[in-house]
Amino acid sequence: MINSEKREEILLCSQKIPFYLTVGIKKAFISTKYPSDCSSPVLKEYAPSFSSDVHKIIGRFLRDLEISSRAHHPLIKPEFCDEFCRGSAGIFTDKKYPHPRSNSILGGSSSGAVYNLLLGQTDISICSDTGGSARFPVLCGDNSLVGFKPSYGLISKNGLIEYVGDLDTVSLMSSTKNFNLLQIFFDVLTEDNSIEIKKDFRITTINYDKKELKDSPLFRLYNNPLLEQYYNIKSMLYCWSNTHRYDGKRFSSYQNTYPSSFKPNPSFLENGEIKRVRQLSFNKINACSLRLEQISRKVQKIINQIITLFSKDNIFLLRRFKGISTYISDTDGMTDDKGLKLFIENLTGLPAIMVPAGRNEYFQITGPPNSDKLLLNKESLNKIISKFTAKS
Amino acid sequence: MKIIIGLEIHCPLNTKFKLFCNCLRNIGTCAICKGEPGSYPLPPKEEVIEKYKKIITLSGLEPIGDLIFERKHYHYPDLPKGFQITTRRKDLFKESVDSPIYFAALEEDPASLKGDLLRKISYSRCGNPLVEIITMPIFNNAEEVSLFYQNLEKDLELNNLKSRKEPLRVDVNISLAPTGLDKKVPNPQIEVKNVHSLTNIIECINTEQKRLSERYIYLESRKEPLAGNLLMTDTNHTRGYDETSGGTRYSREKESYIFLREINIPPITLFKKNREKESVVMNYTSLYSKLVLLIPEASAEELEEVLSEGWASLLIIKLESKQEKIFLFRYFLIILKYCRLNDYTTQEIISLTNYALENPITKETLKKIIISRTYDDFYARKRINITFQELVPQLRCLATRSDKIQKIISIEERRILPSINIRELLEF
Repeated sequence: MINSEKREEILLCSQKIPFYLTVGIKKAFISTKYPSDCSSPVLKEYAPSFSSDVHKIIGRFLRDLEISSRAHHPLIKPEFCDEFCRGSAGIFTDKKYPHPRSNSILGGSSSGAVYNLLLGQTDISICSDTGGSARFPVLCGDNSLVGFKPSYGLISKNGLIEYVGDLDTVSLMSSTKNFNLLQIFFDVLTEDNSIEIKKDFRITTINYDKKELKDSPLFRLYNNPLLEQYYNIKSMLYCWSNTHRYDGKRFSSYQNTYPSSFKPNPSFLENGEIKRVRQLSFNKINACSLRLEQISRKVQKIINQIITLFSKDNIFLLRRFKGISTYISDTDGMTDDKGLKLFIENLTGLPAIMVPAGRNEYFQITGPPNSDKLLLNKESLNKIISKFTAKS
Repeated sequence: MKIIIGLEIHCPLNTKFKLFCNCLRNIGTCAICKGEPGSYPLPPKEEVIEKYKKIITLSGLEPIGDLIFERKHYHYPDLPKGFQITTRRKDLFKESVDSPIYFAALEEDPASLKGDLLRKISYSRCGNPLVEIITMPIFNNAEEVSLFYQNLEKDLELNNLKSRKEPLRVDVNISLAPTGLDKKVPNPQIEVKNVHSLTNIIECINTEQKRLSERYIYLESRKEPLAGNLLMTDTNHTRGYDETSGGTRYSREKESYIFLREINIPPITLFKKNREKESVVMNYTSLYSKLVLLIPEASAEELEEVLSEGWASLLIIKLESKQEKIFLFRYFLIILKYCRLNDYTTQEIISLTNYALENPITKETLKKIIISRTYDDFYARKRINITFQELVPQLRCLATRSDKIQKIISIEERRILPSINIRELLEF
């Protein structure tokens, strides 16, 4: 629990909090007050018996803000997401996109957060990131959005409806105007101010000249095809496993059998993407789980190598992304200009931030473990980016 | 007809809390027990793991790696989550031939079902800590099973670890012994679930033995494709036990499960290296004292030979059920010696000992056993899957008709016999 002194410190720091504040929280976080069906017809009647830690902490923080009159009637707004955060077409299949370039439509599980942020309905939104869904939507916002994925395990995940337990991380998105809010809410959510900002930090960069990039060990590790295979199999298998939890048919022949608060709908899952995963045959799933076991040791080695490289030399890696001009509905589009995937940060658990950088260009900066505060600090972030841009 | 029996014994532990949450055992229910969306299991408490460790050490199992938890998916209403969290079975323990127990899994208890027509589920039991003790398929009678079962509570000191109100729940796995059976007739493996006491276990085994052997004789005589309800019983399936009638009843077909690693619980180290050795030493001394009590005439060298091979506790069960103990013991030593000469797997040794200890003890039977191995090897090379025991009577029937086959048998026996040192074995 956060101390009263620390809370006061945070409140003192929060001079730049807007007077009218609304915080968007994804529907994947359950709460007793707000609807928490994870945008699925199965959990429509689900009345959870407890609230998620994110809802509890932020509710407490907003109450303090209101009492200290730094904000006037701050609100929590539950945000739509894709069914069970699978990350396909998102919520924009029927709705118009609130952007001048109407062709650029983006799917993903956090598409509800983007919708609200671009319309200005929320100032900051708290979402989840399993394969880049908090960072990827930034690419359609021109100069208006920032997405941040903290290092794994800093923010409590209790109450987040599980997609892939190992990769799910609670992450933050905000508009570029309210960049300060990212830092403030990260402090609030971690409930810990012990990680101090280092003033002197070394930065080693990798230039984007072709030779240097291809010779570097990081590029080789990132480019390993096993990582992609591992991610795809794992996400599919755990999606299958977790959606089977809510199968209403399993209970249908029994009377008075449901646990009191949990009544799943027997007409199960009508979204195409989830339906496809659920209807996979037994043999295929068994084969996939065997394959996952075979790969997992090799992949773990690669991941460990990446983490040691980052933590040993204090590397900050910058990757360029190009903006999106067409409709993208799958995770296949989540690559940078060298063809490297976005979900590697989820596998390694390293912190990463996605920032706009001029016309149709975006930077993603990944740091060593527990360097979250450096990435959220404007000055240090500027330092890192300027080093890269000067070289290239 | 002979049968093979293996046991799965579910032992509920008497801890204060449930396995993966802070609820009181048998009383409370929370979001984690009920498997609500958004809930994550907590890592198990030290109290549970220490009790699990005790059971492991006393049953003579040696863990190799860390304790890793897995999701075992099966879709039945007693599981609110759709999967049960158990320990990983692969590569957890060494292949120890020493004890009849070959695995002990720590897992969460499913909910309890009540009633037949108006079925109800109570979730208060859901998530209780449970240790599943699994034996090798070594038993052939109800007597052997009862001896093992009676000694189990003393050996594993279950009185301190088990909760007194809840009985041990036993699943009995039964099938006909495959030796001497017609392979075309199906021989299903049957699991009778939730048998609560020893008298029930004995009744259950006897009735199932009767039923299976009658069924087999009926099917063998018909030799036609089956129809109707009998088809259901051809596959491996589970059965329920009726305490009132003493019979069993078809419940469902056996499913094959999908296992996925439970990511939300970190792996747990059970023992440090020094402690592993202590547990082995303790078992060695206890087994030695037991053997001395059973066979006072055996010499110390002979006893040490048996113990060094690591077959002592399996032998003890067999010895306790028979009267001619010295003969059995000596016979067992011969088999062990032969096993040392040729590389036998554990399952082969079990089948060999079962066959040897059941049959009348003569030198001819010993010959048969020895030759059967070599014959198996010989015909495996030619990709014909026939054992010697099946083959010999058929060949001898044919041999009366033609001289060629008689020659083949005599030539092969000459070839094979000198390659094994039978003289050494027989002299013993």
